[in-house]
Amino acid sequence: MTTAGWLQLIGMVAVLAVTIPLLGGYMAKVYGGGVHGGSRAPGDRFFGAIERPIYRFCGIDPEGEQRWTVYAYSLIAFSLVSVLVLYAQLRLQGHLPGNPGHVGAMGPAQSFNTAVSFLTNTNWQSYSGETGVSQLTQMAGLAFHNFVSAAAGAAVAVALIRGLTRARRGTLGSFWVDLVRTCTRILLPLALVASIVLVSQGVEQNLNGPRSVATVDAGAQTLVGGPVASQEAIKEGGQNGGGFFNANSAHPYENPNPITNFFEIWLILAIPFSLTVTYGKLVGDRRQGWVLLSAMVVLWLTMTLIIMPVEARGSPKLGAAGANQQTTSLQSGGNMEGKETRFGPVGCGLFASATTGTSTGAVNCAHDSLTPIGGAIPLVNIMFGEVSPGGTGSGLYGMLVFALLAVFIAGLMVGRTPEYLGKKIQAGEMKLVVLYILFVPLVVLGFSAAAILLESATHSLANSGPHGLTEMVYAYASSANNNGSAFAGLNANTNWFNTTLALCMLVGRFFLMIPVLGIAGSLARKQPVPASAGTFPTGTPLFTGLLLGVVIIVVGLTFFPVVALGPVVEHLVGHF
Amino acid sequence: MADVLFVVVLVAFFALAALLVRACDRVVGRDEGVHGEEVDDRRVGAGRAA
Repeated sequence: MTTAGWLQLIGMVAVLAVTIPLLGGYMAKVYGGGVHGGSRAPGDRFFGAIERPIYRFCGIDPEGEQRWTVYAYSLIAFSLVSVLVLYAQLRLQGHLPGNPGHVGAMGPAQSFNTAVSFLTNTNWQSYSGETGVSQLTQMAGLAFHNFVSAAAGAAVAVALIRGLTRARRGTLGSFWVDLVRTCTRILLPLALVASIVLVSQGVEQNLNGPRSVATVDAGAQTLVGGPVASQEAIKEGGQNGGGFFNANSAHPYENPNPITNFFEIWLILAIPFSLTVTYGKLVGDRRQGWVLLSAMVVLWLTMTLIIMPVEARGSPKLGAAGANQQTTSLQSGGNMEGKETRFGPVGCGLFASATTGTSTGAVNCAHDSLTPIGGAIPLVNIMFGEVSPGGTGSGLYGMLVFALLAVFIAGLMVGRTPEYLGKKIQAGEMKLVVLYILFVPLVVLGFSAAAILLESATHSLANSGPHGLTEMVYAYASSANNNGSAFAGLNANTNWFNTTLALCMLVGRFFLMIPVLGIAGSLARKQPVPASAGTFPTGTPLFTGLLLGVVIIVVGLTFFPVVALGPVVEHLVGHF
Repeated sequence: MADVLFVVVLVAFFALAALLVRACDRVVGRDEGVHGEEVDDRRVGAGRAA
């Protein structure tokens, strides 16, 4: 790997090391303060003035508390109403204002897929952003969901933290208050600052429609205008990933230079990593947060340290075909197929690892053009269940579910009732943990198998053999884990894929959130027991190792066969 | 017709999700007897939001 590549990686780790404690501490005050924590949160006067009219308008009692079932029903009701509104907006956008490009209505199956995709924080796109949706839809439909879908994930994570910290309580806070506060106090300020930074670096931000310009070789090209920077900020900051343009973050209007590339990668990683610090502060034991953070960092860094050098080394087939893959003063070298010259293979590798380790799914290069091992990294990152470090909230609660499984296994080994933060983990919680772990593989492997057997579905593939298998499995894994990145090489705009991928997204989002809330509700009712000599300590490096082992074994047992038949076979037979 | 179908699919999915909430509540509710602990349910369902 080049010196520039190492500098990018070291620089990113350094910036994250500085910002994670700051952002994590701030979020702890937001969630721990105010109505649920009894203390004041920073900016209460300012943010309170924004939130109070929202509470009044929506009929929300800011002091209200909800049982876990009511919390879950609130999530379901909000999601159902908002997805139906977005579906209607996509179907009617041709008749609505804010449409300078005269974009027509999206088809029913694609509207279903798109509405579900943005509802679930997946942001899988079977349409081209610049031609498939109007500016009003971008701003009032998709961007709205970029905020609230991320906030809903954070709300579920915070509910789980309350479940762990509360004793003999039947409630977890208020879904509506958590949703509003996450938007007003975390996501909106972050997006505002990030938008300004991106605009300063040349990212587009206007309300222009498409316009034709003359090129230097006397041709014509259509340039599309729009509110790109504001979309880009929450797209990365909320781990959404849906691009304004079809080329996503490879487009120069979304990601014009290496500075914006670096900044966008930081935006992708900042909140998910920081939430572990928030967790440590809220449970009153920072070591608990460090354990989760270190497990996430090990997973993410390992994947990053594989993909960056692999892509920088290049492709043997390209070399055999006569391509110069050497690093020189005029080119970054390595495997440049499907990559932007301004980012190179290391800028692409770092971005790919970040965007798939989180549930973002934005791309700045074609994942289909990565080397087989390079392409396996995004796939495996997604298959980890988005815990390295995952999405806003979803990464934290995903890792906490693995932590509960780890203490359960440790309890079996020593023959004691497992405990986590003093709460006994019993049969009820473990049943929900198992549900959480099984739902995603069920839909990923089930729908992938069905699609491979369906001749019409295989016609959508651009490749056969192991690469084709990877393209198919990647699509379902990306959808079910709410990542949303596309491996490419798959025409997903068919009734089959639009429908089945959307069903994967729904199951992968809500059928995981509900067991998590159930666990939270159950734990909140329990009285913590004091630590004894038989308590397995969960704030130690040993537990980090156990946690990592559980994640790797569970994911390995589930997905290793399909990874072996896809990218591993492709690498071994040298078809790249 | 397709619009009706997709709206029905969405409503059906979230109805299924609501059933999953009830099922999960029954699963974790069984532990209450084991603990034998009283739960402070004050303000449960309080407010219009709840």
